[in-house]
Amino acid sequence: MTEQAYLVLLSLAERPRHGYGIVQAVLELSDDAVRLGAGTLYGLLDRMVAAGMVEPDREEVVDGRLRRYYCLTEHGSAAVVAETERLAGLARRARSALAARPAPGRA
Amino acid sequence: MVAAPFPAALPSVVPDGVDPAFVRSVQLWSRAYPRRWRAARGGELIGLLADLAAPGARRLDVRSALDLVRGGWATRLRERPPLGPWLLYRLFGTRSLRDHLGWVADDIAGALFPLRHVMITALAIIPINVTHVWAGGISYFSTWSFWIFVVIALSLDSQLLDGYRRWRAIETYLLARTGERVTAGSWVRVRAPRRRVTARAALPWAAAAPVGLLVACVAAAARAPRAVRFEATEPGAWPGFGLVDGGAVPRGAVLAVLVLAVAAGVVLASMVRTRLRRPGLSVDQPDRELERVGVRRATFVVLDVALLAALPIAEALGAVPLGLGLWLGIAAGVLAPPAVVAWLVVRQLPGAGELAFVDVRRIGLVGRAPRVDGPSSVLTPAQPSEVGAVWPWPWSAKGQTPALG
Repeated sequence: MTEQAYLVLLSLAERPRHGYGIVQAVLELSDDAVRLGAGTLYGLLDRMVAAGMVEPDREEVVDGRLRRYYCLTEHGSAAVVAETERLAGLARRARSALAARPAPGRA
Repeated sequence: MVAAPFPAALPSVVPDGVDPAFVRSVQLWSRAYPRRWRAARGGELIGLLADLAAPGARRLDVRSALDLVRGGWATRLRERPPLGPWLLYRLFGTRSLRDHLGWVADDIAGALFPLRHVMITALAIIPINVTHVWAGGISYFSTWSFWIFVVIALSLDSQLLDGYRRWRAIETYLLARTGERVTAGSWVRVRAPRRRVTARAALPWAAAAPVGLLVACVAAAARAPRAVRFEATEPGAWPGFGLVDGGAVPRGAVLAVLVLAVAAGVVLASMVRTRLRRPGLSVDQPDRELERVGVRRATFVVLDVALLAALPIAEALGAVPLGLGLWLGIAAGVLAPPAVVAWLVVRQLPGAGELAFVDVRRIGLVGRAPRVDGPSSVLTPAQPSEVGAVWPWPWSAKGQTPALG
């Protein structure tokens, strides 16, 4: 799973969001590092819908703008939990690897 | 089969506070996406891009535009049909893409479809062109005539043939056939009223055509410098004579023949007049929809008349000897008076607004009451409720929204 895909799934974990909501949430989650473009976002959503991780939820029109909400499926939910566990394990191992390194200048 | 076969690919609703130029810019760049994707998601896409854009933006910024192009082509690649069935479809016109009807529908709706449809012919040009260039000729692709042919091939279908090739393709590849299961993207045949041109709209054209041809033929009879003449061939040979160029024009006789034809036409016209004035001509037509002549039909009439009139005009100018045009003149002379009279009568006849051209032709020439039209059918995308059902023959008994089962 790419970082972008993980962030999109994560943004939907909290509640269903529309396209602009996902872009904003991803920006916040990534600490302003990942700014999704429309083409990238819809590419990710299309593939996740095809993989059964995400599904379209409801539509509404606000200020003449059509907003379609997307939500996580159980499969998507399980995938984002598994990926979070994997990343947490990775971070743990990374910390212990860094803690075990020799102090600078004494090698 | 008159309505445009495919819905607009991208809704052109302008969100509040957004410049219409911005929406046009989005429409332009989102063409990278397949048509069916734009139809399903276009509204949402415009909304998102409007949200992301700076307030008052008049066009999409470069980064977003490139992102759209990349995303669009990635979508096209992801949803392309497998190579083998695609080749069979493209080269041999098989229905091998039954599982990719959405892709096939987009293919048929595409602007270049008439060209893609003749792909095998187009491919044949390449080896011919290569051989031609090897032999010292110039490449066909560098000639104006080749590209004019391409433009004609493209415009003929949609402008003059009313999308005939597209309709044929929908019928072949998308229409669920009897006994086949309707899948997402299938088209079905539904009952529709038969469309007929009103008599009042068609008769001026029907009258002008023979009158115009008659005038051209009279001019040819009066001005032609020479005519065909019969010449005996060798004795024993069949049929014993031949037609050769260069005879003197028997002007009096030719003009007399034309006058006789018109006289016969006048007799016919009086008969038509009596028949059209009989009471009770209107028949209830529940399965009919009357329409105007339309640009396409008018174009065909003008082209046909121009093609036919070319012969007497050529005869009048001496480019060909007077001969065949006389027969055309006889036909036009017999038809012109009844057509003009039918027009004049129908124009004033109360209740004739409900008559179609075919009715007037039948009443005038055959002398019988109009036929009651049976229903026609049109092709239309299957409703979601019909997906999964087995299609019956030839259409559902329940009309426009057939219930299946």
